[in-house]
This record gives sequence, structure tokens and C-alpha cells, in this order.
Amino acid sequence: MQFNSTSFMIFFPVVVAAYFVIPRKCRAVWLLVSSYYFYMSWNAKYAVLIGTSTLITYGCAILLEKYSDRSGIKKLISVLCICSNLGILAVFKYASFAIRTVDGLLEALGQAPTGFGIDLLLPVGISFYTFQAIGYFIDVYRGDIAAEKNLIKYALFVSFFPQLVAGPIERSKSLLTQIRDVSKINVWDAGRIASGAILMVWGFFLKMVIADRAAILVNNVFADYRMYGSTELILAGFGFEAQVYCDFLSYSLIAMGAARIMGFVLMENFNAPILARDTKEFWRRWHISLTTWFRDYVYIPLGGSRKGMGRKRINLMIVFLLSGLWHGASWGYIIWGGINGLYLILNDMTQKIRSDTAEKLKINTGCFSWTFLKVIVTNILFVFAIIFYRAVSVVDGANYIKRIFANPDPWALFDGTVYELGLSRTEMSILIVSLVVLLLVELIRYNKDMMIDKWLLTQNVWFEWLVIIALIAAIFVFGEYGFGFDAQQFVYFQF
Amino acid sequence: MKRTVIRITIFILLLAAVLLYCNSILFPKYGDGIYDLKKFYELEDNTVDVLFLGNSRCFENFSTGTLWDEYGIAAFDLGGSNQPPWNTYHYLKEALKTQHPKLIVMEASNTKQYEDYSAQQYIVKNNFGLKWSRNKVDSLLASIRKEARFTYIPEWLRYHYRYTDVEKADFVKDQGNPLYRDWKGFACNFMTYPTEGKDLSGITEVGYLSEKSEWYYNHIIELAQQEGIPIEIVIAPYSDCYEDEMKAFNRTRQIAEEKGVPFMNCVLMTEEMGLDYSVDMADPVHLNYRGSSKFSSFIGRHISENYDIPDRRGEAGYESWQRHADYIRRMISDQKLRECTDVGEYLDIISSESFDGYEVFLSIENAEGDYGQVAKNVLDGFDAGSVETAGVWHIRNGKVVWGAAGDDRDHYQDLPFSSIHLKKADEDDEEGNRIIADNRDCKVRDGFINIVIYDNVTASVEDSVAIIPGEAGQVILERKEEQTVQSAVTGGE
Repeated sequence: MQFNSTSFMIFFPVVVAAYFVIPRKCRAVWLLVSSYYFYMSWNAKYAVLIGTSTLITYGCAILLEKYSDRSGIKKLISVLCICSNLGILAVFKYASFAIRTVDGLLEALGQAPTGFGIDLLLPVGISFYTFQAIGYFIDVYRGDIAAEKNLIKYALFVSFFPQLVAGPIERSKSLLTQIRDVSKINVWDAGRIASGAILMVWGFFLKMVIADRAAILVNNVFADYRMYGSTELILAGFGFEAQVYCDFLSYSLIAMGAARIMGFVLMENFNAPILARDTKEFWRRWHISLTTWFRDYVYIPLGGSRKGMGRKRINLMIVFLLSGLWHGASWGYIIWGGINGLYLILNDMTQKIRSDTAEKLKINTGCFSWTFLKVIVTNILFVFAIIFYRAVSVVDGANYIKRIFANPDPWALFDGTVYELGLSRTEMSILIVSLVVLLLVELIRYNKDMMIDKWLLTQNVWFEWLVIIALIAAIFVFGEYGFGFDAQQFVYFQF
Repeated sequence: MKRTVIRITIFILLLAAVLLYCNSILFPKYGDGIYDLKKFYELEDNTVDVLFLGNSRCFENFSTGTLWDEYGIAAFDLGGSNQPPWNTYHYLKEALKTQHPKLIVMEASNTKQYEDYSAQQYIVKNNFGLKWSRNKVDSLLASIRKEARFTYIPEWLRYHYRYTDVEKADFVKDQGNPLYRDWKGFACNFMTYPTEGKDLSGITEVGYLSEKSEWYYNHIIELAQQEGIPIEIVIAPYSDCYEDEMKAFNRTRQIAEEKGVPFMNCVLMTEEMGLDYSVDMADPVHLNYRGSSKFSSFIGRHISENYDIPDRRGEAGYESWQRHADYIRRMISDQKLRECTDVGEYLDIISSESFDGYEVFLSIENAEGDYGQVAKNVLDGFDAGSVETAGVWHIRNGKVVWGAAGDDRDHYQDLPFSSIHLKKADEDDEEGNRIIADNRDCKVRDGFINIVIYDNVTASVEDSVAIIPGEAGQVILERKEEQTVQSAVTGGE
């Protein structure tokens, strides 16, 4: 059941309506049942995996607390808990990739392949809820939060449907605490409901009007990139940036909005990353729930920046390679992670040189043009990396980039070629106008530190309504849905 | 709390208004299955005396204009392209909600439909125009395969993507087409498809109809009979009728006779109605404006001789039928003008004072020598004065309204649904004179006499000709190929 499906349009209002009227003490049970129904709508068998992960972390956390004064048992429980959770993830997500890699190596060495074959269906959202569960367990281990004794509430924390399959990856200190107090939530708060609804509307706009429209062009070009010159390839590269950003942002916004309508506050996952001035800032603003998870549970335990510059850079690279692997079981994702790790290391290494050079050349770094240049360069670097993320294989990614430099065709901008990539002039105009709207909202987010809901609710009511009605009408009219249209899955579902 | 409820209510109302407006723009407006229902719903209750049902061979063959002009019959063609019998059944049920006609005529060639489900465009055309009711739901369920139902309901899923095709017609009343103002469903076809008929009179074998078609055909007849309305089954004439189809029509006849319903297979009656397939067909299965006039004249006579149908001409409440018939006649006049190939005859028609309701735009270039004499004769016809070598004129009712003189080279004329710009070229203008209608240059040939005819009734440029030198010192009329036929109705099979 995707957010942009008819099923969800029925499911969500029913869940919310019941949630608002049932007795307070039944809320957690109702949300748990709804969340499992939501998750099982993809494949009922998936429930076994999420249930297993839930029971393991639930039991281990209680045992951890019970034996808090016995470090040996604590470590044993921790290893058992984390390994079993990562083990499930490894089997379902990485086993096939590992075997393929080993077979490839054996073949390169002239040896016979292993002969193993695993063809398991990747359960949606497994990386998200596994990390959320592990994060909870580590929090209990560190004594940051008490182990949850109520299985229903804990199970709801792991499976809370708005953020279950594509995040944000919530922290126990935030979401579990709210779930513990679910019976105290005042559901009839018009301002909060309006705020949640605005986030959902904006999310649907990003998904259905921008992401799925950009996907048409991106899919066409990436599927047949050898037929295109640099103009189309660059366009598709930036198109994929728009697609993946709007797709993922939209999911996070719809999740936040849906949760907010029910009285829960989820963490913000994106904070105008496309306006970041450098890659370091970019990664502070992109997929915040994952980057902070890696920071808190991997980077800092590895020593962070406390053990010298060399170790810091190695730690950074480890985190980004793991992040790439988390995104998907393929070398393309790992290379994507590696490139981004390299960006951060280079950013760190060259910071002084860059500022000294700018000073020597008397470049005014306090003006718009310098900021603009930095934003553009940051986005170009991001696009360069995500080509590996999107391409079918590493070789395809490399060839794609090679063609950008080897096959210049600037005339494609003028001879109508860009309108033959799957989007007509009208469709392209809609995409461009929508991207301008996105840019305006991002500027508000970046400069005023306000999300669209908060900003709109501070405006005069006529303007607020005008914007909301225009967004809803745009979704209805220009949204990519309906007969003959195969709604694109949210990109991050596969992670 | 009260304030919040009021705010939410106002917001929802505003949102609904915007979405409904978007829907009205994007809703498909095909003339061959949706728009006829819209116009049918606009009729005063119980004003239709004869209701014609069926597929395109209903609405392209039964000329409601001819039936009115010759017999004063207030008829309506209610059909859709490739309409199968199940949709005809539900159209009839829908019609009977507001009308109680004195006669129902079903053009029953659709009974030979063997597929139980139509292609998606015909499902749209034959269902989406119905107002939401139990009848519409039943019609949709009968039309759509079970597994595909939720791809048509809500209907919006099928047409919201029309934003790429939106045009002026989607925003203005009756699509900006005066035909639709008083339309009675008849789509006059101006194509000509010369062909020959076949002698199928010897086919007496009875074929079969599909179970679904037969079931609905039976129920159409029974529904009319239950309502106490006479029903007659007609197969309209067409040239490309095959033996198997004739056998199927024999089964259609058999069922009609079993139920005591009159049946006419007009494929076998072309001589009686004076049809000539070499000039009367628009395509292999539809009559053109000549053929439909002859056929409707025949049907009208048959109806007036066999049924008690009042002559409504001059009767209050039926003015729209008169306007509709006037309009059909006007379209036919325009077509005859487009078919005129004799320069003298053409000039006589358009320079006549009786050429009423038209705007004539004339451009003359390079009028020298013999050709200059031709140009002079043209201008004399309009009493436009002397001619040098070039000029542009706007003529109405045979009189010059405006002519380029000196520096006054441009003339703008706002007309119903169009804007015209006449421009006399100066020495540096290589493109020559221009007659521009709605940003399109209507001249046929540069460097000669060009005439553009705009009809204020149909609100469109109906003809553009160039008078060019022919053989042996003669002059001939030249037209752009696509201008010889004007389509009357959007859509079509």
C-alpha cells in the first residue's frame, strides 16, 4: 500500500477517524493493528520478519536492563541482539549480492562458482525498521532510555505505519516516548491537523507532480543512455536528482503529516539540502535521520574525530561506504557512498586552501554570486555521484559519465530533442514550473528556517487557502496517476 | 469550535468548486457520444416526438434537419460511436426519464456486434456522458470487464491527463461551435466516398447475434413496449454490407417480427429512396449530407404515413428545432459553395446581396494583362472601384466595407469566435498581401486573386480560393485540399 495509492486514500482516513473516536487506552492497539495491516498489504509473510525483529529487540532490551550490572552477560545479549537483527538484514538483503560477488571473483581467478543461489524477495522497509530497532537497543544499552515493558507499545514503535517502510528512522527517545503517552494525546487540535494535512498535500505534490514526472525522462535516458549526447545525459542526471529528492522528501513529508494528524511528531528528514553550500552541509541536511543514526551509532563509537585527522577520515569513509551498502546491495551504491565519503574528506582537506585562494584572488565570498556558485557546484557533485546510484551497473555509470564528456550536443537544447525524451513541451513546462515552486519553498526553509506548513499558517488565510487549493488542484490535474500510468514506487522502498 | 467548523466548510466548498471547474474543462467533449447526451439533458421535458437510437449510423444518417424541414418532426439522434446494444439500452432508459417520445427508431446495425466488450475509447464515449444514477452504474458494469472496472471508476482517472490537449473549446460554452447551440444529435458528414452497392437481396439465411447483443436488443424492444411507445427497427443503408452482416440482420429482423415490431432493412431499399452510392456515401458505412437528406426524407415520409406524429413547425417551444434545421441547411450551403468549381458561378454567388451573413475578404496581387481584366471583373462585381496592381478588400452583402487606400493598409475585424487581419503589402513586403484568420494565413496562392469566405452563422472560415490562370486563357478556382471538407462534429470513429 503506497501512499499515492487508492488503498491508502481509504486506509488513512479510516484509521484516523477510528483513532480519534476510540477510547484512549485502545489507541496503541488500534495503531499497531493498522500498522501491521499496512505492512502486510505488500506481503503478509513480511510480518514474520518484522515480528521476529521486534520480539528479539524487545526481549534483549529487557534482559539487558535486568543484567545491567553484569557486563559479560550484557555484551553477550548485545552481540546476540545486534547480530540477529543484522543477520536477518544480511540474509534478505545482502546474501545474494555477496554470493554474486564471490562468484565473480572466482570466475576472475578461473575457479568454478560457489554454486549457491538465493532468490529472496526483499521485504520493504527492512533497512529502516532494523536500524530503528537496533538504535533502540543501543539506547537501552547506554542507559539513555528504559527498556519498554509493554510489548504492544514497543511493537508499535518498530512498526508505526507512517514511517515504517521509508523512514524517517526514528529514535526511541522521541517516538517511543510519544507512544508511551499515546493515551494523553489531545487528538482534536485543529492547528496541528491543518499542519499535518499541509505537509501531506505538499508531499503528494512533490511525489505525483514532480518526482513521477521527472522519472519518465530519467527512465528513458538511463535505459538507453548510449543513444544520447551530453545535453540529454546531463538533463537526466539533474532530473534524477529532482526525482530522488522529491520522491524521498515527499515520503518523509507524508509520513510526518500523517503522524502529526494523529498527534505524533516525527523528525525532519530533509532540510533544504539542494541549497547547501558544500558537501559537508549537504549531508547535514540530506536524509538526516540516517546520517545522524550513523553518526551516533557508528561514527562516534569508531572514535569520530577524537583520534586524529587520519582516523577521522577513515571513519568518515567507513560510514559512507556503509551508508552506500545500506541503500542497496550493489557496487553502484557502494561507489556512490565512497564518492560522497571522498567529497567530505576532500572538502575537509581543501578548506584552508580554498579560503586562502579566494582571499589571494580577492574573491568576494560574501555575495550572492559566490553562494550561488557554491550551491551549483555542490549539486553538480551530488549529481555526479548519483549517476552510479541510478545506473544499472558500475560500468554503465562510468560509461554514462564518459559520454557526457565525449559526446557534446548543445544543439539538443534548441532543436527539440529535449522534448523527445518522454516529456512533451507541456509536460516539460509543468515540470519546470513545479521545480520553481519547489525552489521557492526550499528558499523559505533555508532562509527562514520554516517548513511549508508553519510558513503557510502564518500567512493571511486567503493566501494560505489559495496555495493549498492550488496544490491540491495541481495534484488532481497534473499528477502522474490514472489509467495507463504505472505509478512509480517510492524510490526508498527498496532500502 | 464553531469558527473552525465554518472555516473548514468554506474551505471544502471552495476546493470543491475549483476541482469541479477543472473537471468541467478536462471532461471529454466528444460530439459522437458525450455531447449529444449533454444537449439531450438540456431539452425541455417531453418535447422529443421521435427518438433515434444506435451507433454512428444513427447519428450520421437520420438528419434531424431534413425531418424538421420536410415534416416538422421534432426528432433527436441519441447515440454514440460504435455503440453496442447494451449502451443503447441504457441510453433509452436514460432518455425515458425525461422524454416520452411518440416513436422510437433504433438503427440496429449494432446488433451484429460480436465482442462482449468495446475498446476503451468507445466505453468512454458511450458511458461518460450519462448523469450519475443507477442506470449509469449498470451501463458501466455492462460495458467494462470485471477486472478493469476500477480503471474507469472514478472516471476522472481516464481523462485528467487531457490537460495536454486542452484548447479554447474546453473553456467556452458549447465548445464555441454554433452547431451545438441547438444541436439535436445529427452529425452531418461532408465527405464523399464514391462506391457501388451490392445486390444482397438473395441473402435469406438467418445468422446469429452474440448472446449479449441479443439479450440487450430484446430488452430494448421490451422496454419500449412496456412504456407503450411504438418502436421500429431500421438498418440504415450502406454500401459495404457483407453477406454475414446481412444474415445477422435477418436474425435482427426475425426477433423484431417475433415481438411484433416493424423492421426495415434499408440496405435493400436504396432504389426506393433514390440513393446513389457514387455520390451519397461519406465512407463505406455512413451516408454523407446528400445521402442522409435522401434517406431522412424517405424515413420522414414513412413515419408521417404510419404514425401520428405532429408537425411542430411554428409551434411555441420548438424554436430550437427550427434553428437547428436552419443551421444544417446553412452548413450544406457552405459545402455546396466549397464544391463550386466554376469561377463565374462562384463570383455570382458571393457578390450577390442575398449572400447574407457572410464576410468576404479579397486580395488581389499582380493584376496585369489578361489577368488584370479578370481582377477588374471581380471588383466590378463588388462595386469596388478601379484596381491598380494590388489591394485587399472586406466585402459584406456584395458591398465593399473597407478597402486598402494609401497608407491605410491594415484592417482588423472581430467576428464571432475569430479575428481577421487584412494587410496590403508594401513594396518591401515579400510575402505579399495577407488575409489572416486566427493567426493563420488563409490565402491559397500568393500573387493571384484570393478570396476568403467567413460565415457569421457557423462562425468559421468556410472557404478559401485562389483564382488562377488555367488552360486556353480560362481562369480556374484553386483550393487547398483540406478545405474542401469541413467536419461538423468533434470525435468520430
